[in-house]
Amino acid sequence: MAESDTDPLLVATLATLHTVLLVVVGVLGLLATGAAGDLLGGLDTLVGVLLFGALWGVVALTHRRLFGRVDLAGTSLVGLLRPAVVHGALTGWLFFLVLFLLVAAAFATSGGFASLGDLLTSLSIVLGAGSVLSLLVGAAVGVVGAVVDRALVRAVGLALPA
Amino acid sequence: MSLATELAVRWVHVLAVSLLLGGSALTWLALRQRRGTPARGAGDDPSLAPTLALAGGYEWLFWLAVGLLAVTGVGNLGAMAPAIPTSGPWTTTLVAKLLLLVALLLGSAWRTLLVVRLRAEIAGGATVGAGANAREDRTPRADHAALDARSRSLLRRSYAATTLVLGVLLALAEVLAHG
Repeated sequence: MAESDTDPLLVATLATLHTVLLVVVGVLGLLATGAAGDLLGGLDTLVGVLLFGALWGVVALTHRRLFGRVDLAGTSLVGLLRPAVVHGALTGWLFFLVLFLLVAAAFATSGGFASLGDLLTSLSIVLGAGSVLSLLVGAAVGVVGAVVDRALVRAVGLALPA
Repeated sequence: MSLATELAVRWVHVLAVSLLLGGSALTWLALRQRRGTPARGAGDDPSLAPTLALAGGYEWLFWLAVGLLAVTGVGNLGAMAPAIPTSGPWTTTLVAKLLLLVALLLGSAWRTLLVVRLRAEIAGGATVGAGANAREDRTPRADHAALDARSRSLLRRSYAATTLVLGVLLALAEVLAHG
């Protein structure tokens, strides 16, 4: 399917659905663990808005790329899994990069390190470990997203057979 | 969070809900008014095209508002931090509201995909939920008979359900704010 064939509304819908579901599930998790007060209390409003905007933007970008290459209607769940894993991992990594840059900038300007060498070593370790973790988490979320998307397409097909 | 920021976050939150609820109610009413209206002359258009244009516009607005609702909802919760209750009736209501929101999101994604599919059928393009083979034989279906009563009924009911669920969510939000 050519990228121009993809309805932008489809991309925007699924990107926003996945982003907001992630946030809602995250909040539910924080409530269940009792960590909502501590975490949200330490989150600046502007930073929170920027992070959400970054996540939304990254997800929209990767969804546009994904559905420019994959025909959601004509691809089975099995066929959708591989591109979903790849694009999910890409989404996770790109969002981690945004997080990393924010944290690195805050850490570098705080002066809370002994030397430049210490700073670079710490950031390299965080970048490496975080990249691996974000790729794995992103891939897993991508699989869940693919299952949800296929279920929705199937539900539309059941309600309105061709 | 400063008072000005807190007010701004709440204002955007309320504005987003207003757009969602008002838009779905108006789209539902527009679909109800077109129910069973036959073509009376050459200038009349009994097809779903104008309604789908309205619905498509609302869907864009819906998902934009949902994004704003999510970020400002977390902001509203953050304004209460660190004293966010972790148990009790307030927390139960919040969890119920969030679960109902998840149901609304999934149902709304289905509704939007339905609109995308019907728009594609009118244009004779790729569809959602029809399967790959169904697209092979598709020709432009701009003629009025192509989109049947079932499509209209599905759309009408989905916007009615959206309006109803949003009303319940609004009631739960009121309980959380003032209950």
